[in-house]
Amino acid sequence: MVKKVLFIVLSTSLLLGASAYAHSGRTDSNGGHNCSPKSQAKGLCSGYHYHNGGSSSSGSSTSTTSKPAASSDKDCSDFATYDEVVEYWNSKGYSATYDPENLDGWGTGQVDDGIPCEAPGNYDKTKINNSPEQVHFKQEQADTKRGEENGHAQGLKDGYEESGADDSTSEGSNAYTSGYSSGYNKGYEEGQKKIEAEKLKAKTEGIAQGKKQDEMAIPESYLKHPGLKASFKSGFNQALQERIEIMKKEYQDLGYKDGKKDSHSPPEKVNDLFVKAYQEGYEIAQNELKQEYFDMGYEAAFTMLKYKDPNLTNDKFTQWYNDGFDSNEEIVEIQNSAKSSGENGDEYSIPSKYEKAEVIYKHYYKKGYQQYEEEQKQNQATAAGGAGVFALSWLGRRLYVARKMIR
Amino acid sequence: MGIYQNICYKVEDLLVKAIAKKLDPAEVKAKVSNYRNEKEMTRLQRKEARVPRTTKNV
Repeated sequence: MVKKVLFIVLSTSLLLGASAYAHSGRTDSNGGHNCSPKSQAKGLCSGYHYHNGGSSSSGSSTSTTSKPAASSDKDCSDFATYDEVVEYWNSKGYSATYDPENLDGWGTGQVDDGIPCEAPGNYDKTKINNSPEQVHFKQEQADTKRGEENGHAQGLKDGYEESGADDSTSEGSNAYTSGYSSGYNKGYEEGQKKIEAEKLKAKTEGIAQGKKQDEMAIPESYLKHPGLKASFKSGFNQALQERIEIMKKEYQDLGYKDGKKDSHSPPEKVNDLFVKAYQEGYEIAQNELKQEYFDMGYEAAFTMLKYKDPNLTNDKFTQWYNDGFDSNEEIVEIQNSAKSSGENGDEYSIPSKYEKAEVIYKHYYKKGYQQYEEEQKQNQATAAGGAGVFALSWLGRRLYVARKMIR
Repeated sequence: MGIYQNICYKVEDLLVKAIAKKLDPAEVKAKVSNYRNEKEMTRLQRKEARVPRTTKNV
């Protein structure tokens, strides 16, 4: 009976002892153990490593972070993948300073790196809660955000003020600098868009004012910004110029009408520009009028053998008419052609290109033809005279011979 | 040349007839004939006297 009780007690104590060993992560007396082939295959650990910082199976190595984890304490080999480790780690809120299950490092908190078990080489450690990588990553994100905000503000200001873009900064970390640059460029573009929209508005207002008045009055709000001021001015000047052009056109038309009527009365008490425009219009019309009378005279030359006064009311018009009449050199060509045709004894036929000058052509053809007839008569007379002289000579010779024979 | 000479002789005959009305026609006729023969002879002699142009006497 005693033996039986002893066996039961020993068996129980052995079982309980074995259970307590496994419960502490199956670490040895130093708080570490060799990585099992199964865990190595999963990539959770390699070689000998520690979990409890070398302590034995207490499971509550640090008094400050101790937690009643005895019933759920896990070991690296309990997870199928490293993602499960991380998920567990994160869900528990563990970190380098709070690792009651000794999933990270030595277990005593002395060499903890905040990475549970052993992360595969290419694993993204920023996923691991409170890991140095995550802490660093978060810091970078914060820096980037702050840089973006500061850069955006500065870029917006520079873009709006239309100053040269400079997205560099000497302050902060690389993440801050990069964020600053990105935010600056974005802000600069927004600033440019904003100022462009305002400039358009300023120009529109300038145009509206330029349409109403000659004197420019720039609103105070535009005086502060050189770009806005220039846009307003540009709009105003554009509208003013358009107005001036319209008025110049009106005065030019007026001058043109007067020029056609040959009545010169330039506007008084107006800008010299408008007087000049009137004068231009007047001269254009006068030149056209001159050309009309000149052409009239030129054409008349085709129909007249001698100049006839056109009986125009204005001496200036008559002079232009005469100039046109005198300048017609085609007439000489027509006269020569007609005379030559007549002199050759050609039958009368006016070439189509001279039809408009039929009177002249006919007249000079007749002249030429008369000459032709006279020449013909003269030739006949000469021929007749020659024959007579010959006949007389011959007859004289015969008379001389006859007299000689009867002597 | 024969026709021209005949025309000339005819005209000359008419002129002789006109200017020698008072003379004896037979005598006139003889004179005319004599004159013309002499002329003809002279012409022939002149023709004969003319040396023909050959390559030897150039």
